[in-house]
Amino acid sequence: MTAKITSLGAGLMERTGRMSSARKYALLFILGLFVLSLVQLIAGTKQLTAPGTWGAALRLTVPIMLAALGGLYSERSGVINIGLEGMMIAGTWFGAWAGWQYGPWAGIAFGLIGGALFGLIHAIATVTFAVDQIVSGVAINILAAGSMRFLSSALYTADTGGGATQSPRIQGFIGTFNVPLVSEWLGALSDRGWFFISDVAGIGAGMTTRVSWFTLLALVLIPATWWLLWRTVWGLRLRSAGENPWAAESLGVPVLRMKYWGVVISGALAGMGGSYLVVVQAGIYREGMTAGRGFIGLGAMIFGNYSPFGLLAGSGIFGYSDALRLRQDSVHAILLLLAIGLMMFGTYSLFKRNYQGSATQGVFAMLFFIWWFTTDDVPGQIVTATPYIVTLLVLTIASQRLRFPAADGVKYRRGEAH
Amino acid sequence: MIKKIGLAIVAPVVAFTFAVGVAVLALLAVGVNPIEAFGLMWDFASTPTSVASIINRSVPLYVAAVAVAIGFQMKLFNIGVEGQYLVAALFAGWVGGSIVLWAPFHVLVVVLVAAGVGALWAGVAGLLKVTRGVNEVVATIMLNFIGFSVIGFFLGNFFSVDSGALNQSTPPLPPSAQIPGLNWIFTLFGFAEPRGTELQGFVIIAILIGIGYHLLVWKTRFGFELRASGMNPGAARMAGVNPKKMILYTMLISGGIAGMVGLSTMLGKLHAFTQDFPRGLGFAGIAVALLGRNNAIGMALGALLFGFMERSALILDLNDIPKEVVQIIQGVVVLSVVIAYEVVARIVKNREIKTASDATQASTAGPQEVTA
Amino acid sequence: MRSELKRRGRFLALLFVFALVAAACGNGGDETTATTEASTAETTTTTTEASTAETTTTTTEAPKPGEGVKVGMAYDIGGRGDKSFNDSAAAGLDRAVAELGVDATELEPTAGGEDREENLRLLAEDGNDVIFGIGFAFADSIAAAAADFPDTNFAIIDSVVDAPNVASLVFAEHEGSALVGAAAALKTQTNTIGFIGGVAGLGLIEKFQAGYEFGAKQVNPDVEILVQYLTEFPDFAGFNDPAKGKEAALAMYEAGADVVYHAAGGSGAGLFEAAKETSENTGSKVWAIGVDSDQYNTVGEEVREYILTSMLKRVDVAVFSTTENFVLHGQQSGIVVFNLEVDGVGYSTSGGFIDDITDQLEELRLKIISGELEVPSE
Repeated sequence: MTAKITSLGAGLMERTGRMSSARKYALLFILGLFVLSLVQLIAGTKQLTAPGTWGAALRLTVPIMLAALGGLYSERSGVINIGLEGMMIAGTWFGAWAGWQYGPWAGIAFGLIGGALFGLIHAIATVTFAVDQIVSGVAINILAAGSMRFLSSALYTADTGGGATQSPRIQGFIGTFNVPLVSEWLGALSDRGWFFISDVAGIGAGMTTRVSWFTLLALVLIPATWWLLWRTVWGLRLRSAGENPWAAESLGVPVLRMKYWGVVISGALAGMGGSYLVVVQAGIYREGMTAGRGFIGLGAMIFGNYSPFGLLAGSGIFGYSDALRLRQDSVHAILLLLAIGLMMFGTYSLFKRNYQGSATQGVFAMLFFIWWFTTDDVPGQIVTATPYIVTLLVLTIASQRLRFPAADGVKYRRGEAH
Repeated sequence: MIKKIGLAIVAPVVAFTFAVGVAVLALLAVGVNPIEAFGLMWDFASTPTSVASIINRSVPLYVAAVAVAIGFQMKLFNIGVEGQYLVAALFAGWVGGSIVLWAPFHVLVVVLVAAGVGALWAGVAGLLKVTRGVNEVVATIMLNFIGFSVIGFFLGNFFSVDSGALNQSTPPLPPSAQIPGLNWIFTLFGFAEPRGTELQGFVIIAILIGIGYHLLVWKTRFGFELRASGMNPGAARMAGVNPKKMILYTMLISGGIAGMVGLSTMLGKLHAFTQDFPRGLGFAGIAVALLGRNNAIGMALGALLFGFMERSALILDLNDIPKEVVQIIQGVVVLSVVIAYEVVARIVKNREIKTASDATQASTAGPQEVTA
Repeated sequence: MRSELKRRGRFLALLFVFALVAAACGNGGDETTATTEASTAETTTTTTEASTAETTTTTTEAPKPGEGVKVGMAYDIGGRGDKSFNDSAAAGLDRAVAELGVDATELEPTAGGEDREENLRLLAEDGNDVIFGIGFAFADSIAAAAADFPDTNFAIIDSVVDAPNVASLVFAEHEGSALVGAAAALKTQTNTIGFIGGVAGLGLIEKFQAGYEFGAKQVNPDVEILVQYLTEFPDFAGFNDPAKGKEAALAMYEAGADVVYHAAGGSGAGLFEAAKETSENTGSKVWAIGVDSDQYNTVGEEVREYILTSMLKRVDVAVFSTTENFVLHGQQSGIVVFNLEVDGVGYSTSGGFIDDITDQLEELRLKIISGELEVPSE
């Protein structure tokens, strides 16, 4: 009997092993959706796949994703960028100011410029002067926070409707759109309440209804980045600057210039993320509104293994957990999700003959299940920590396969022998 | 020797002047007389009260800087000092407030608990790095946020004492756990006694930490291995250094010191972990470590500088001058100091290369010397 | 390589010289800027002074009672312009300056917030007679400063400090919240209302929540109340994250709430955006309720029509009356409670959206004042 199961499992392993990684991820995704539906059924909540939840998840993901994308450009060119938070802060301030003066699209443009400005400072320090990159990043964060406060207290007096910590409201708003037909169709399907089908429809509806144009713009940047970095000569040059600048230089790549591009673009994207917070969500600049999203973006990027689609997934985990957290009593169901997920992972490990791993996962699965079963809700403090714990957990489980650019963080000087 | 010291000072001096220049521009832009502003700041900061305040402010910064610097020696980035010191302070406060012991012993227990919890919190990141290869930057950042949740959970549910003033805190530390102030030093030297600020006794411990750091890094085998692992990990491994052990130990020590960052305030002033325990010291400590180039004395000067800037900023507000200008100086100073250091280092190196090449040319011109 | 260095060295030197020159020139040039600033400032002050002087001369000829009295105000982080709490205090101070003729000095701490005690001491040493600490974070600092400056009168908002020269000004936020809770319950058409708290675990915001729920249930015992806190102590980001505030609000509106009250400081702006967006998208109007100041007057035009009412925490009244009491009667201490009875808390009627239910709200107010109903505070 056991022999049959193991051979079945081995057969499955072989089949999956031969699949392309794209197919594997697709399979994993569908499996994940199925588990979500299952959990919803058992836990009796509708929030995990509700359109509202996923719409919110999308909106909460984008700023983090933009910061992470910014981090990608910088790290791929070989420069560590801890200053993403500061660049994002600049983006929020400039975005609000320009949005107030000229309108939301100007807000996006200026947010981009503001972030790029601080990116330029970081580039000058780290590329031209070859200063320690972490140092520069930290300094940028301090500088950005102080400068924005300074500007606010200078420009926003009581008459304008703002103050030292808050800007007046931007003019107008960026419109939203519904994907024609698809949105309504999925919405109707989601209302039917059919197991799995409605859940998937709900997710689809959430991501196609009342989507901001800015969201679309931001999402387009992901495949655009993939294409730019992996399908163009320019992208190849940028990546070579981060992998092996000495070899690249010998082949005629203007390494220093590529690094400049990488870091300035990084700042611009982080700034864009900041302006998203203002233009799509808050409507104003409020001091402290970035709330660490720049750092989270950095984490998401590392989590995503320095690739655009990976960082989308990483940011998505944050966005989704945050969206769930803001909806009453939804985080409790996550416990069940973790339990079932770990159980499946444990079974997978079993088939792969990783008995020790399988045992650990099984134990944790049991623990989560017991926790879910014996409590009615999760204490508030743990709920707020969910996205961070999840990121740490995933990093821990999957970390061995992370590959960062080989010459990331290295101080490079032109003409240096290696 | 004088040249060496001179060179070491040139960089920070130039950088500081540049930062001041930027501040001058910023002040001018909003219509403030910079000379007047700086004059106010200097006058205000030279009173004994201010001096005591400045030293008090710089102590936690210094301890945080040392914690970060230990990591930096090995190219490990402990960005988690913020979370480490807050979690450590919470538990230390609770333990300290719940027991009563003979005074020096009680203080020692509080210090040990703080260091232990800090080490533990950093150790998680270190463990994850050596066993699963998790990048310590991300891990410590995540742990910072998770630390907040832990604090909220424990303070809200178990540790707090209802003081009725809407300010939750751990039970107050009994007098046996409080470190006496050092204001008498001022009167000893003939100065007026600081009013309203007690020069915190923890500064002595901070100095000891600095000395300990210097000895550890420069005079012990562990310190040698630490620096070697940072400068040339390959060579260090060849020499028998176990990189995983080094990482773990470094994180533990860094976290342990980080845990003590909040003790100066807790033992000397607040006597409990309250809802508005000072924040942001972790990140400021990173800046100070960078400013001081991971050098025990350099960091002390950097911490004092930051303390000075923050204290003197208060007088600006009283005179309607935007005090964010001080924050701008802080950011620019950090940036320009490191840039200046790099430039100076390169100038020195190039000069050495030139001297060496000149010497080689001279010797090739003359009769060949047989080298042993 | 060497020439590169030389270039950079020169660049640095140039910057250095530039900075020096700027500093030197700044002295001279600044005088002109200073004089222009001074003259513009003077012109504005003279006109305002003239007009106020004129108005006062027409009504009363007597000099203002508080002249010569110095009042210091130490704000919490954010200072003036935070659009709610601090601004309310600032308004009270402005009124004291205008009506009582006192001299005012305002300070705020740096972002770390550590300078509170030092700010208080600075104000005391500067000769201020009355010093306000705005916010519960000042509790420890006021206690320490008051001990060292026994002749100065201190006052703290939102906390209790026991000292002969400290007046503790506390508010009955729960009572005010009860009134807006009743308003929400009366106005809801879906029988569901919501509450968004900024930071959980402080005890302060839970007070707002308790009162809100009580008031709502008084009017409509079956009303469903959704509650969401943005962050947990010690993470104070919940008071400054309008993006999260908006998402939390959207979630509530989606779940069926049509009136949402916030006690989340700066994050409230997100609630108003959510109200506007939801109303526009679904075609049926949803409401938001503001807090601390009359937010109808402080927010942008685009969102103000969605603000049903605001729970007023009359910090301005507290500041003004304390100052007035000092001017007329001298040093005060003890706990002063600003509750419904003394109009320390209340609700606003700007926009006229609740004119039709004011009678019922007044009835509830009287019941609470008379003691017939007691509002819980946690």
